[in-house]
Amino acid sequence: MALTGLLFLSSSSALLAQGRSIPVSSEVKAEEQKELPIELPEGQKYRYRFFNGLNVSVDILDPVLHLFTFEHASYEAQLMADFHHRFLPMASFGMGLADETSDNGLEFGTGAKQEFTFKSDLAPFGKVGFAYNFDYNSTRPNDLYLVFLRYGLAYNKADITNLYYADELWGSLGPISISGQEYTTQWVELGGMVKVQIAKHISLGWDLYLKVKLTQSGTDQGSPFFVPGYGPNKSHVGFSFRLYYDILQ
Amino acid sequence: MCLLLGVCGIPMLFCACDNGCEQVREAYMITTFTSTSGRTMRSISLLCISDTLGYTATLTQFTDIDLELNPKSTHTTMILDCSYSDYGDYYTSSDTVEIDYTVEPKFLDMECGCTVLFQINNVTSTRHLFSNLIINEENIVADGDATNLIFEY
Repeated sequence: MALTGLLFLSSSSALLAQGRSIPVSSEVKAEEQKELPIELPEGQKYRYRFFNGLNVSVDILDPVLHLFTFEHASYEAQLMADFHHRFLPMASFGMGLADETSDNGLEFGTGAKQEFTFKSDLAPFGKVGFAYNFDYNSTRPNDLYLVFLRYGLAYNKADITNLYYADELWGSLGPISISGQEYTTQWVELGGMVKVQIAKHISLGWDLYLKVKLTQSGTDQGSPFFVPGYGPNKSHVGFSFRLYYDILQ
Repeated sequence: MCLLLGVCGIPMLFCACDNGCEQVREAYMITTFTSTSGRTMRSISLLCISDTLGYTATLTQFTDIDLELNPKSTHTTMILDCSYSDYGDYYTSSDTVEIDYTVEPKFLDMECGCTVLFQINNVTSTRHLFSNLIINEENIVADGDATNLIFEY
């Protein structure tokens, strides 16, 4: 104990002698993060072990928007593994639904305004993909800045009701229903994601990505308004806000 | 910082939407009148009847004319009163065209609602002026540009 006290005093004296103050808590934390050597030993390619962890995450943005404003949502959970902090395969599964009513009604030549509904019950989707960390030997093991490529597959069934078709010569046709439409959609997502640790085992992050549809079947009577996991069928940009939990670290 | 940037980007993503319908909803049957006999068409008066409804029109051009089938029915009759010239003499003739088709709604999107798809099943015509009638494309769609019917005279 006396030796420790002596060392503390001597190190403090040394710091003070160099014109530096005693480290405050944030500086100590920063020092702790620097425990990992910046330079890797000769011949060592990776700083992190082969299997470097596993995390699960859920997208919290879509459910929140669904609760307050949106009439459609995808509920998604994702599992991501970490190999060497460099290669991060991921797989996600979720369910999506829509019960959307046309916002302002449609103004037809007849002057009538009609609102129609696109209803898709809870339907499944899955995604598999791969993320890559360019800064894989970073000294910050808990934060990730990734690029990723994902493949998505979804199935949903929809009923569109109370549609009207306006014709200036023959008058308005309706109400029309398009029932039991079954759609299967495949797409790819390419983008970037960020994961930042906010507490032990818990991180927050977001994904921003471009979406490109590969195929969509069942569109003889039109494309769906909403695809589970993909979002609005005409959208090309996706965004997720994720809450992560590190299962293995 | 990165998290903050992401959250700030959300409104931009979701507000970049357009509420107006910019798609064509009306599906027209595109017809062409082609002379194979040396006659020259001068004018066509059209009477279009379907069930108890009808409309009249005067066609002033004879290539790629848009005609509307009745979406509430599966049968439309067109009576075409044609004025044409043949070796400098003027004639009039009338032909009746019967068109049988199926009608199916097609969903466009939340802004536009729906359009209809017509599929021509059968076309019959009297042959006073028209010598031949060809179904070139049986599907009539809102954004289609293919000629559906060709009247040869």
